[in-house]
Amino acid sequence: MRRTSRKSKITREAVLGELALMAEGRHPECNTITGRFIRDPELQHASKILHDAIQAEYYRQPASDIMQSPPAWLLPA
Amino acid sequence: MPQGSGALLSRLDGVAVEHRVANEDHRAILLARTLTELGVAVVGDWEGSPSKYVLCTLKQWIERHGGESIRAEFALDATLSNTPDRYSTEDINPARLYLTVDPESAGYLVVGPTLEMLSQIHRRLPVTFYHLVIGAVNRCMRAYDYRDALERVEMWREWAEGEGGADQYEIPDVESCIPAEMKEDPLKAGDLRQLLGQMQNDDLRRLIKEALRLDRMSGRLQRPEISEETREAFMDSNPPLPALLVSFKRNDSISGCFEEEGQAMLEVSPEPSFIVEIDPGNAGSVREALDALAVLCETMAAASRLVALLPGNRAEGQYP
Repeated sequence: MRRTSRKSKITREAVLGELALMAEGRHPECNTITGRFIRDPELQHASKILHDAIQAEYYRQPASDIMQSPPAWLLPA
Repeated sequence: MPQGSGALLSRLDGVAVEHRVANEDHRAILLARTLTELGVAVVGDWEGSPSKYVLCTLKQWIERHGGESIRAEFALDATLSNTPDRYSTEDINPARLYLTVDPESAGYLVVGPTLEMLSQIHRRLPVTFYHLVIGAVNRCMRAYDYRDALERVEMWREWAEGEGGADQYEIPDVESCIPAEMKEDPLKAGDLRQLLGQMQNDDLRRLIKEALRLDRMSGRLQRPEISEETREAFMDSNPPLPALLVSFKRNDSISGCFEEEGQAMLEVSPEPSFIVEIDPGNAGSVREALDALAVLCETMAAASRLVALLPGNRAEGQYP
């Protein structure tokens, strides 16, 4: 129902406006956490560094020693 | 979580455990904008996703230029992609999109009965008709016919010579299934027009008129120039897949050669039958691609309608 009403009211200018926001990364859909992650190479790079650090630490020490397990935490098999 | 297991997982209240996003390629956004600016896209189809909007526009464009007629005889697949090779994921140019059209299977045309009827009017009419129709299809998509079969047989013969003699192998006799009229020279355009004016048989006159129309239509197809980097992507490819198999009789030697050759057609990825490079932000480039696609679709639609008219060519499904 909502989609139908959106369709009937949409104008060329509105579509072009949304597309312009998307192209500039300012559209609300681009501002979700994953949307920002996909668009931001620095976030991706930071995430890679963190991932590599955890991997390196995991192989250096037993997994359970990296940090104290929260109460009632079920350790990975 | 059911109680009583004796172990509890820590809770993640308030934390989203999964994120999903439909990643919109910037090229899809640019193309959606260009299609809207050109007035080709219908803004009512906008639902917030550029790629869906572009796909919807492409489908409508194909329908507007004969999609339904094409589907009656051909199984073609139009693809808009960031890679020119549908069998590869390599993004060779991040600023470009590629529109390709390829057959999913080949249509089947048995042309012998038509040629026989045409030969009763003029001995050079069958070959004229054949080259008008098959030539028009070949300008758009590959048609596999007796010439491909003869080439294949020649290759087999050469191979057999090296393996101890052609007489030790069963090689299809393509030559004998080609009607004698096919060895005549096609009529010149003026002679054909004159003959058309004298023809009494309405059905056959209609066939010739449709063949001439098809020929004119295919002549409008301007394949936009392809860049060197795209050409390089297909340097080691097989020839394009055929969209049409043309034989003179059902299940003759030409069909046999096609079936045999078909086993290896996908051993190496084939060249696309039709490819246009698109600069998605450039209205001229998008227009050129759409115009070329429109001519291709209209020609294939006209070919499909003509194939349906040919006597002795009742559709028996797509050739595998």
